[in-house]
Formats: sequence, structure tokens, C-alpha cells
Amino acid sequence: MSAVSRTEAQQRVDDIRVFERELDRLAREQVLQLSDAQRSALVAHHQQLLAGYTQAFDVDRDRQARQLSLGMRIASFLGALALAASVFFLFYQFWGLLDTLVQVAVLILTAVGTFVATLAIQRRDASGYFTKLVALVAFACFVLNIAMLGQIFNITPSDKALIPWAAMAFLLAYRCDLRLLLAAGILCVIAYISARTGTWGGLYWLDFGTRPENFFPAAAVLLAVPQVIGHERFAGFAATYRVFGLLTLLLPILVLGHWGYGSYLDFHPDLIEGFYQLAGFALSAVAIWIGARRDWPEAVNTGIVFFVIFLYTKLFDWWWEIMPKYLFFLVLALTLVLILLVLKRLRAGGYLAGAGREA
Amino acid sequence: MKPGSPMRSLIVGLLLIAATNAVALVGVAWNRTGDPEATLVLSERELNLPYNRGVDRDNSGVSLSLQWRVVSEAQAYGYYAAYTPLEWLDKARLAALGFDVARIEDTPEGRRYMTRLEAREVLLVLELDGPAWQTMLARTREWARRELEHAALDARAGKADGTDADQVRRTLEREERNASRLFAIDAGLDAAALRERYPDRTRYAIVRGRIKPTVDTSAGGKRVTGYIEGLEVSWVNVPRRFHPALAERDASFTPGRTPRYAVTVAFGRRFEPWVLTVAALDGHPR
Repeated sequence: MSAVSRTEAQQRVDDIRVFERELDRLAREQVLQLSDAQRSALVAHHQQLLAGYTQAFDVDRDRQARQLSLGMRIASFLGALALAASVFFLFYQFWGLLDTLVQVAVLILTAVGTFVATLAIQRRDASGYFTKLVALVAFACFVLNIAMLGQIFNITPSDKALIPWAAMAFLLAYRCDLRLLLAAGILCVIAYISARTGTWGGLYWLDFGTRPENFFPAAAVLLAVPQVIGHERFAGFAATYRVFGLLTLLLPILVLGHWGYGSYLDFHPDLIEGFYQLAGFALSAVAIWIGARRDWPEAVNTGIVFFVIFLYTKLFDWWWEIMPKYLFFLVLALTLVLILLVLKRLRAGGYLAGAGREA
Repeated sequence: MKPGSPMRSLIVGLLLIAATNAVALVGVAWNRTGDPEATLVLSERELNLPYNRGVDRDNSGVSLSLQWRVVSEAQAYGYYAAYTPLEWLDKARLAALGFDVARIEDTPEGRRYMTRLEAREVLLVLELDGPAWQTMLARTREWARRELEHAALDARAGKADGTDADQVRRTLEREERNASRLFAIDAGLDAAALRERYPDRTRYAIVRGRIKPTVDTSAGGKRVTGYIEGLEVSWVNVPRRFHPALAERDASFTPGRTPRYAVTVAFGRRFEPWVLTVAALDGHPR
């Protein structure tokens, strides 16, 4: 049993099921017939693997179990959000009745308690659903801890709080193999780097959103992380970094493509908007191309979505006012068909041959 | 990257929680060590109780909202105090606050540049019950005198939609008895220089805030100035031991009411405030 994570184990189980189906087909088509001994050995090996994975990782052994798992993932996510909100309002309801020292002690002990509980539950929870639930609560408690200290002692708000929050989110994400916490950590990193960039540009730190270019350094960092640090042991982590990196790059470009006043660049807004519109097309095309070459389906999909958005907003600017609406939407549909044809050619050319495999 | 052992993760997590809390609490202790940078005795005029509507209804804590104002021709309270052009701020002082004002001109490029200027964090001087409030009081009385004359003329002429004398009197009463006497009167980047200019630590507090340049067109001209976007700390938490003095108070502090409590607020080395005492004022039982 070589899988080290639940995702890897699940992938192996899925591969076994596909293999079994194809073997049955080949047997029916009389292409491949295993001897009884071979078949018995194969079945015994697979059953041993499945039993081991089920015990260690609580994997889904068939399609029905997989469908139920999706529901459980949604339930654990919503449950975690509700539980985090419950902890927040519980404290809010009673903190005024406590002396300052007790308030601080409760905040710290709650953060410590939920963190320790997360690690303890992770050791017993093969499925990971309950770990996710309590890990998100632990993260929320730590955020509440620091935020409430700020409120209790009237501390000046600072972007520096984002550093320990990000650290806690990453610790929980890597410890418990949770992409949800990875996303929380990434969001903290985006906010911190963007706020710092804004501060260096002379802005008040909370105003970093008023200059979308502040997000570009964070995008560069996020896109570089999976290149510099190997994430083979964490399924989907590299893809998560890339998706957030591309969003952090392309969303500000989309905004600047229609709001030149928001730029640091000291040119006429029309010129800036034109520049970013071109940059948006170019970079989303580059994302598609690199994604296809490097076998990063998430980069391909994000690139396609943004390419279409850039195209649609441009077409809207040009033709919405002057075209009959039926013609405008017809043009939109035709452009989509054109994109489909281009992607089909790319696929036929083998560019997307590796897409679909988890990074 | 490999996941560490559970024990290592546990130690790292606990250290992270401990270190973060330690940094925050040491900062609080540092702010409060030594003599306070300033100590102001504020009343309900300057520190309002929260309304606690919506999700805040469950909030058992008490934080008082710091009400500050700026001298202006118009009566500007609360939200409107922020965003009111500052009379004491000009191009030269904006430059001293770090704004690049050389390109602020009445040209298309200059106006475009203005729109791109964002707020900067500065140190603000808050004056309690001083010349700024006296100026505002005198202006309001003069305004009320003129308005009441108009109201009398309107009444004599039988105008149904004339000046509302009751409204004018309420505004004057509000200024005299309810409105905050805490005014932002200066800004700078050097706390020592500001303190040298305003040495009275019981009347002047230095706080962190944000100023954004603007062009004031209210007087018909185009005066380059700025407005205060807000203070960094605009709420003051009240520890539980002081709650009895504020118990059973509703948040409304309408014209005509006299302040029901006085709060001694200290401002520390980091210009962050904390409550020293809360006293219920005479005539208002606990």
C-alpha cells in the first residue's frame, strides 16, 4: 500500500475500479482472458488494497459512496462555518460579563483548545470530514483571539495580524491535508502582500484595494510557490496556488481594463485601460498555453474563463449600444463557437493530452 | 515539502498562538507604561453608547464611540465630521504630511492627479473644550441669530414654508449642550513636535488618523485642503468593572439631555486609548 494521503488512496481505488471494468470488457470481447489463478491473485490483491485503504483513509469504494462523500464534504464545510459562527457569537454574548483577564484567558485557551482538538481528532478521523470541521473552527478561534484582543485593548488595526493568521491556516492545511484552510492562508497572504505593497506606494494599508496593481506581487508569489516548493504529497495544493495566483493576477487586470484611474501608471486612463485589456487577453492566453503544456487543467480553465470574460466585456463596450440585441447575442454565441473550435484543434494537436491528471 | 510529525505540528502551533498573543499583549503593556501621553475627561458628548442593532444585539460588551468633529461653516456631526474639508489644512501643510502636492493644479491633468491621491496615515491633534469648540459655538449662535430673524420675518409675512424656528433652536441647543467638544485641530508626522505645540496633556490628545486631499469648493473658490477619513481607533472598550456606571442607559442622547456619565480616557505611547474611570454624573442614578 503505497498511498500516503487520502487523495492518493482514493485515486488508486478509482483506478482499480476502472481497471476492473475494462478487464471485464476485454474478457467479453475475448481479447484478454486471465487464468483462474491469475484472476484469483488479482482479486485478492485488490481486495487487500481496498481493505487497507478503507481502514486507513475511509476511501469511497464505489460510485454510491462517492456521491455520499460529496454530500458529506458539503455538510462538513457548512457545519464548520456554522460552528465557527457559533463560537464567535457565544463569545460575543458573554464576553461583556467577564473581567479583562478572564476575557484574554478564554480567548487564548479557546484557540489552544481547538488547535489541540484538531490534531487529536485528525488521528482518529480517517475520513477527514470531522478534521476539516474542527480545523476551520480552530482557525476561526485564532482569528477571533487576535481580533478580540484588538477590541479589548483598543489596539490600532494592523496588517501584521494577517501573518500569524496565514501561518496558522497553513499549519492546519499542511498538517491535516485541507485545501479549505490552504485557501484561507492564501487569502491572508494575498491581503498582507497587497497591503504592504500599497503601504510602500504611500497608501493607508486598508486601502490596498483602491490600486489593483497592489495585487500583482502577491500573484507572482502564489504562482512561484508550487514551482519552488514541491507539493507531490499534497494533492490539489499546487493547483490551488495556481488558481489563486491567476485570480490575483487576472481579476485586477480585468478591473484596470475598465478603470484606468485605479492604476499607479501615470498615463491617460484610456491608454492604461487599453494596455490592461491587451494584457488581459495576452496573459489569459499564456495561462491556457502554459496550462496545456505543463498539464495544469486548472490553469487552462481559469485562462479560458478570463479570456472569454475579457472578450465579452470588450464586445459589450463596442457593440451593446449600436447593435440590435439579437445580433449582439448572436455574435457572442459565434465567438464562443470559435473558441470551442480553437480548443478542439488544440486538443486534437495533443496540447491537452495530459490534462485531467492531478498536479 | 513533507508534513511534520504531529508532535512537531503541535509545538509549532502552540508556539504560534503563544508568540502572537505575547506580541499583542506586550504592545498593550508598552502603550500603557509610564505616564499617559494624554488624559482627557470626556463626557457623553464625546463618547456615545452604541445602539447595538442587528447582530450587535447579542453583544454583551460595551464600547463607546469617540465623537470628534472639525470646525466648519456647516454643522457636521458623526459621519459628516469625517469628509468635511478642513479649514486649517492647506497645500503647504499637505506637503508637510507627505503628500506630493506640486502637481495639484486646476487643469485636467491636475484634477486627474487629485483623484488619484489616496489617504495617508498621520497623527491628529484632538482638542477638548478649547478654542475650536468656542469658535464653533460662536458661529452656531451667530447662525441661529440670523436664522431666527429670518424665521420672525417669515412668520410675519405668513410664509408656510419659511425658516423653522424650532429646528434652529434645537440645533443651537444641540451645539451648546449635546454636541462633542472634541475637535481635530492639527495634524503632523512628528508626535514630539505636535506635543511641543500643544503641551496641555489634559486638553490635547494625539491620535492616529487618516487624511485625504480634496478641493473645497464650498466658498465658491477652489481651495486645496483635505478631510479626515477617520481615526485608527474610534471605539473605546469599557472594562466590566466600569459597566455599572453605564448600566440601563439607552444609546439616545437627544438635544436637551445633559450628559449622563464622564469617562477619563488615557492615551498611551502608541496613542491607543484606554478607560481609567467612568463616573455617573449627578442627577442620573446608577
